[in-house]
Amino acid sequence: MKKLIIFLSILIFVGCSTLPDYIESQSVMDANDTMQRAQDAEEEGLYTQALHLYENAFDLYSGVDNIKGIIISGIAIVRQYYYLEDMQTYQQWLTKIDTIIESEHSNLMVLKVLLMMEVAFDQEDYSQVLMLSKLAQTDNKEYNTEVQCYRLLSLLKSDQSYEEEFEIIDKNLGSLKRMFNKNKLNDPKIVSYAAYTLGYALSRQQKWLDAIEYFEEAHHYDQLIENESGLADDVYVMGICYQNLGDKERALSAFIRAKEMYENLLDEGMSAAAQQKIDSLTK
Amino acid sequence: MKFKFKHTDKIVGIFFFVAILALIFTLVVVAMSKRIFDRKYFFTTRFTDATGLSNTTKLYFKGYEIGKLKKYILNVSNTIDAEVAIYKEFRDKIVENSAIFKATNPLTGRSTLEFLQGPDWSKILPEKEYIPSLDMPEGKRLLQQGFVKKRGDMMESVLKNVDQLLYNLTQDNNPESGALFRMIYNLANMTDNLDTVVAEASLLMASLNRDNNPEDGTIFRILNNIADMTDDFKGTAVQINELLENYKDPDSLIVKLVDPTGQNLFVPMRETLLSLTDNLTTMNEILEYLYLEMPELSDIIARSRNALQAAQKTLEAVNNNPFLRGGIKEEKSGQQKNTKIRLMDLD
Repeated sequence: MKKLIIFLSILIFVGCSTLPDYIESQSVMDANDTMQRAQDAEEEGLYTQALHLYENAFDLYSGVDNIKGIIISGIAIVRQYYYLEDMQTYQQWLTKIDTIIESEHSNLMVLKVLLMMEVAFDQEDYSQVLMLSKLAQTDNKEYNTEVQCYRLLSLLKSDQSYEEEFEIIDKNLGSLKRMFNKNKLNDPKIVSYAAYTLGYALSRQQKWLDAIEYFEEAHHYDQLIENESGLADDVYVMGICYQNLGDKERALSAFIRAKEMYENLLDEGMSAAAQQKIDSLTK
Repeated sequence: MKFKFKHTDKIVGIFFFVAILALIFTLVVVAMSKRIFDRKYFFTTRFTDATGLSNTTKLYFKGYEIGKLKKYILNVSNTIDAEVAIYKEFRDKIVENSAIFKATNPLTGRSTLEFLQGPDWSKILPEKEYIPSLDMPEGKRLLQQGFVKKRGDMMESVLKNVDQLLYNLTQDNNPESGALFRMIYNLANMTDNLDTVVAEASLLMASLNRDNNPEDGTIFRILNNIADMTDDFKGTAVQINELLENYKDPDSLIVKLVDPTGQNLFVPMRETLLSLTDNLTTMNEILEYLYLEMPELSDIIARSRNALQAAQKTLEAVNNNPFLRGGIKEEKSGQQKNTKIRLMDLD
């Protein structure tokens, strides 16, 4: 009898577990798909196309009142206007999204702050980045790491101490790797980005060997997510590290590989930079 | 531990005994259904032939099986002596002046025996007595004298009707036999008059073939006048023909009116029309090709759709499988993916 009950319980458990998870509506699935395509376009630098797709996704999310989707696609739209240098529309959308976040989903305020930090960092307004980083209080490991990365880089650029931020990122990196392995990260790029940032900070201190370890780690995770532009950057900076360590052979090999990768990505600026490095090493 | 039955012999014995009991019970049931144990009363009869008879031939009365043919043999006078067994419950139906009717189905070739009961039901016929069949003179006499009544046989009735129909078809002057024969009778009379009609029609045709015969009647006078009128029309038609000949080519009139040189309107229009004709020919070829390919295209589309549906179901099943779910990479769509600025200035 006991065995029968156990068997039946297992049967019910397995039966229930085979039931499909929450099924999203077709509009949400379409919106997610549009978001994915928009992100691909953005990565390729096709900002006008990305803007159009993000606006479509925004409309689809609005049609089903998916607040999180509305906010995320809205922030992406704001970013595209920044890239397209349409600052008037950028400001209008930023205000609009700010209103939605405050009234509907204040937990996502960190996303808006992150965007503003990104813009401030791009404009080399490091004091603004540091000021904004204090507003971005979140328990989310991914967002927190990204905030700390911008903070570290801003401190570094403004010649301030960044040991505390380094330790936080290094500590977070372990957790992020575990989350990566469990496939629980929303944006897997954060792992390689964190490793790269730490490597960069060490490079600035001319700790080349330590830096290489982080760059290799970044390279490993970029390979796993097929982040081609990230891979090219990883190889290029590793080449610099080897060059500074006096390992010309490895450095040359890294720059040649980096040049090929940049050429494939149609990044003429970085391709030329890699070629210069090759030339300097082969002279 | 070795497993062993304690009372093997008893168990086997019970099974054997139960099997014997079941067999006996079955045999008894079969015997009862076959009336083996019933008391039977035997009577004799005689047939002219044994066509369709067998030892299983049953004897019916009013639709009930009251007995069956027991045995039959060919006797010295080349008739069939037969013995019928009557079941106990129908014994009192066998009365004097009864008869047996043997009906043979022409399709199956099998015979059935029907018992025709005599008029006086109180005079029970003693056992072993003779019951005549309607094949034999005694039986026919009973039928003629009205002691027994023969029930209508379907096949026999049909054949009788066919025989009557054939007889009526061979007779003349029988319109009173029914609608069909009245119609045939009238048709025969009509064909008689047809000869006269044909002769008159022949005379009429001869008159029509002749010209100038107004003395034959009004119709022929009308026809004569119509012939004269057609002569007049012939002259008019010649004149109309001349008129049409004069206006045969109206192009020059219109051309002179609209586009005297023809270069401004007609030549470009002609070229356009020729070009359009070429395009239409090409279009027609394309459409014909598409039309020919259409079944294959639709077939491919239908197959692709089926394949996709099957693939979707398979993937859904795989996705829902609890053992694989953990192994499938969960799709993370619609998530925030910030641009992560990487600094490269290490020189």
